Order: sequence, then C-alpha cells, then structure tokens
Amino acid sequence: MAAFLEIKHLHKSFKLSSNIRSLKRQLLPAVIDVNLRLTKGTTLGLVGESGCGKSTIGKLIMGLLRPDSGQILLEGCDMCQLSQKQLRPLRRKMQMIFQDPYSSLNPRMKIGDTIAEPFKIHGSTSTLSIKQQVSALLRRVGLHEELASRLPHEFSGGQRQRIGIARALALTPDLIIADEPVSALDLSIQAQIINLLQDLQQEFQLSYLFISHDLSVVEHLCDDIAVMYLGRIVEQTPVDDFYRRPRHPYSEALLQALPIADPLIHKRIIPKGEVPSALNPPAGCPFHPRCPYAQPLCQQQRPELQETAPGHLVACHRSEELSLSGVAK
Amino acid sequence: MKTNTPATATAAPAALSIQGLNTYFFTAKQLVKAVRDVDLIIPSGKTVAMVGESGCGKSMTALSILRLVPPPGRIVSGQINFAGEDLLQLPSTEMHRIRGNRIAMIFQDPMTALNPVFTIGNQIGETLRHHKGLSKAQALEHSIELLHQVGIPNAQQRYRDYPHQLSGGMRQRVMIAIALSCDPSLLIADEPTTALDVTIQAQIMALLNKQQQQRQMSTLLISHDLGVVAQNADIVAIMYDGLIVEQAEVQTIFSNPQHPYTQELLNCIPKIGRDRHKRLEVRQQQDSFWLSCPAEFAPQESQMAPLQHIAANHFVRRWS
Repeated sequence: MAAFLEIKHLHKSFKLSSNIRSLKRQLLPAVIDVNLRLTKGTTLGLVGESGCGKSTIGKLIMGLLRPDSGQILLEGCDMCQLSQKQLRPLRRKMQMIFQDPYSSLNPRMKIGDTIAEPFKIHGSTSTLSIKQQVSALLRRVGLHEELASRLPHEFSGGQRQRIGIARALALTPDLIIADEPVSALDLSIQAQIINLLQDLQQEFQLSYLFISHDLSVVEHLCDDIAVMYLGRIVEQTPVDDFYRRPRHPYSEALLQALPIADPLIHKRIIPKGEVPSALNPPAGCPFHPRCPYAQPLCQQQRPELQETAPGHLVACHRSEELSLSGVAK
Repeated sequence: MKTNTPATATAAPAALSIQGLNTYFFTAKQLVKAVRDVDLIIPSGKTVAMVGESGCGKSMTALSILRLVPPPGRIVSGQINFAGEDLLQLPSTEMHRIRGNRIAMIFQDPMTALNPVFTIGNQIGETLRHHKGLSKAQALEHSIELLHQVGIPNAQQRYRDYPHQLSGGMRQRVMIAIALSCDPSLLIADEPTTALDVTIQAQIMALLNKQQQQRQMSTLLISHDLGVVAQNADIVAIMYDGLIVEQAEVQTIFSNPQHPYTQELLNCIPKIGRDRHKRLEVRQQQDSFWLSCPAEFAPQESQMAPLQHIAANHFVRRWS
C-alpha cells in the first residue's frame, strides 16, 4: 500500500546559544537520519523518553521547523522543497493536537472563534456557514453548540482537549499529528478522548502520527510503532510484534519499566542508567552504556536500522541472537 | 457506632490512623468539601495507596496529616493518631518537630521542591542539623552517605552540585535523600514519579521499595497511575469527590472491585494484550460520576453513609 506520509533521511539539529564556557556555538542533533512511513487511515505511534526528538519530528512534518536535510513526502510531494506560499494548501491536509489543553488555546478568544479561525485563514465559506460548521464540529466532539461563545477558562481540561480536536478537524484534514494528546488528562477523561480519536479516525479515514511516552495507550491506539532514542529510530514494527517480542534492548527496557495495572504480574528487570546528553552521545551504539547485552562491538560501531523480519526494523548488532521479553501474553 | 470502620478493623499495629477527617475550603463563593469523613489506617511497614483523579482530595488528605493545608482550607474535624498522639491537637511547635523528621514527604515535582540557590548537600544537611542537632561536618558526612544510599554516583563530588546541575531523576533521588535523612516512620509520597520518564520511574519506585524495607517505614503513596499502584501498594483506597469510596487490599481492588467508580477506573485504562482497538468503557461526558452511577452509591446531602465492611479488609461506601 502506498505511503500517505513518508519521511526519508530527515536530519535536524539546533544551534545552542554560546555560553561563557565555550565560545563555539554547539550543535544539538535532535533528529538524525529518520525514515518513517505512515499508511493512509492508520496510526503510527512514536515513542521514547523526553528529549529523544519525537516532538521535533512532529513539528518538522507540520512545517513549524525546517529540516537541515531530508525529505518529507505527503502523498508523494516533497514538502521541504516548497516555499511557505506553496506549502499553504498542503497545510490544510494536516493538523496538530497539542499536549497541554491549557496553553494551546488563546485565552482571549471565544472558543467558537478559535474553531472558526482555520476557515477564515484558508478563505473558505461565508460567515453564516462558518457558524453552522463550528456548531457541527462542537457537536461532533461531544460539546454543546451553545458553548461556542464561552472562553477557554470556562472549560475543564478534557473539554479543552475536545476543543483542540474540533479545531484540528475544521478543515477536514487527512493527517493529524497528536503530540501527547492525553498525557495531561485524568484517567476517565483520557479514555473519553482516546475513544473520540478512534471514532473520528473511522469516520473521516484519518491518519494519525501519535507521539506519546505511554506504551499502554500506544498499544491500544496504534497499528505501527517507532521507538526513538537520542534522535534516532532504534526499532520500528507493527504493534503486535513489538509487545510480544521486542527486538531492541531499549524497547525491552521500556516495556519492562512499564507499570502494569495487575498486582499479580511482577517486574523482573529494572532498566539502569539515564539517557545521556544528546550533545555528547556515546560512541558506537547510543544505547550501549545502559544495555545489559552490550559487547565490545557495540562500543565501537553504531548498528544501522535493518529489516530483521518482514516489516520489523531494528538497529542492534545482537538482535538476531537475543531473545528479549515482551509483555503481551 | 463505628464498629467495623477501616480504622478499627485491622489488627496490625498502625503507624498512622485517620478518623473522620474533614477538610473544607472556605472560599468567597462557596464551601468546598475537599476531604469528607476520611477513615484510613496505615499499618506499620506497609504501603497504602490513595488513588483518584485530580481534585478528588487525595493530596489534601496528605497535607492534612502534616497540617499544611493552605488557606482558605481548614481541617474542620477528625483525629489523626500517630505514635500515640492526635496530630490535630498538638501545638504548632510540636508539629515542627514531627514534620520532616518522623513524617516526611516527597513531592511530585523535583524541579520546584528543591531550593535552586543552595547545594543539594546543604539542603540534606539542613534537615539533619535542624532535627538531629548535628554539626555542619557531621551533617555533611551523613548527607554524602544518604546520597550514596539513594544511588547518586560520585556522592563525594555531587553533594556540592546545585539542583539545576542534576537530571529530573537525580533530583527526585535528592528529594528522597532529604525525606529519609531523619529516619521517618511514615513517608508520604505525593505522585513521586509522575514527572519522570518511564525507565526512571521504575528506578525510583524500586529505590523507594528498597528503602522502605530496610527502614521498616510505612508509606502513604498518592498516585493516579493504577500501574504504579498495582506494583507497589499493599492496601488501596479509591477516592472520589473527597470521599473514600472503596478500600481493600491491592489484589482485591484489582480482581474484585465493588464500587462502580473503582470499576470504571479499572475499565477505562488501556490494557496491553487485550481489547485492542475496542472502545474503552467510560461514561460519555465529564459530568459528575454521581449522576450516572446506581442510586445506592450516590451521596445524599442529608446524611453521610459509613464505609460498609463487605469482606475481610474490604470496605465500600454505599447509601443504602
């Protein structure tokens, strides 16, 4: 099946401001040689610990950041080559939902105006029909249409996240980039939003790039999963495979660290160490200082991302010989 | 009347027992009953988890124990028995001696809980000098030992670091070192790992468990993460709207929940290996849970229902 969104050899680094100690401006590589494919109507989960570069990828796709090199193809069209003006019509096709429902809505705008803004920017339709469409969107995300004249502070976190989703849906996009959309919400509200996202996907044939650190939510929502570590993808696979049999030691560490809501299942391995600084990444495999299976080769040579089984990409020297433990029964 | 409340039913010696605690907030607009009629026992050496969504009163229960409820909140009534004394009756100078010493607390956010202008060694030493009367040199020596115990590498050098020089996980380790410095008999951990990445969370919870066993400490763990609770608690109290609605041993809560709110909480979390792509069972909108639950569980304004004892160490609040 043709990829709806395809990312090829994407690189992005940030220049850090010079400080007293070093006059040279340091480069922080945030995204290194990332390749991703997202099929239409499916969900790709992008997971990793804070600072691994997963949100940067979301922003690069949205065009909020410009990549250093690489291609981002939306239905075969390379968005990195386009000017801002040429990019505009493509922007309608992709929208973003943010983590924090408190800071992602303008506190001085009535929520009806917030949701209507995409229509105005993209120059579509009359005032009357905009009003009708805003009402329809509010109803669709489970809010009463009379609430359109209220301000964001009058809503709870879950309701605000619904407003953010309504805004993202306004221009009937094909792709939604959801950056930790449920992390800030309470459990019952989180479940409501997850259900809403699933319903909307079916109804509108949406493709999601779901950025998250919560592996239980990713398992529930996603079809494929990509694990990032220090700016690189270390494993990419269909979700079922991943939870049953991860093939990268970092994936195993993430799964082992995941607290399971069942007091009868007890954890065996506790991951060691912390994520090293991206400014000074370890030589060889970036995970080797924390890896319980590391060998001398891992300290010297960085493993490339390779297909070890159909559809299962792993960057590990020892993935063939290791038998790592998953969590699914 | 209270024959079979959680405060009397358990036989094990209690590190702390709370009876009939009510903490209200007297705001200009309305009276907010943050904690309502809470009865809770923390048996010696055990971990009791308080679980609930934001605003359910779990943190206010913890702050009530330390008598740190911020105004306009006030403890209206109740008893909190700790080591033979009612904490709510003690003069505030006595309370100073207990806080941070025999009852210690760890907060959610290690970024804001540490003072940015003092070194971490200084901040651990401060507690020791204040409560144990150690000299500066003794406190320093003891701080290094504590940093070592909580797993900070190169403690000899690191004690001179300022909080901003440490990662989030390391800061939480420092918070734990401060909390453990005076050998508390009760540790209150308010969402200790919520701000941390999942691998660091596993390390911090393992550290807390190890220290608890070594020191025979009791722990009140406040969390909204049912995974963390399932893996670490002995007893679980589920809170909603200021009330403990159900309380039982951890296996019972997860295998045989009796209150509809507990059932909803357990149903609405995605579980790995099951129910993929299936809708999560949860009420439709964010209305109060009381509107959609069976009438017998919905609170009546006129009277407070006691927690009913339905099986060994298993309590549910029901109005009929």
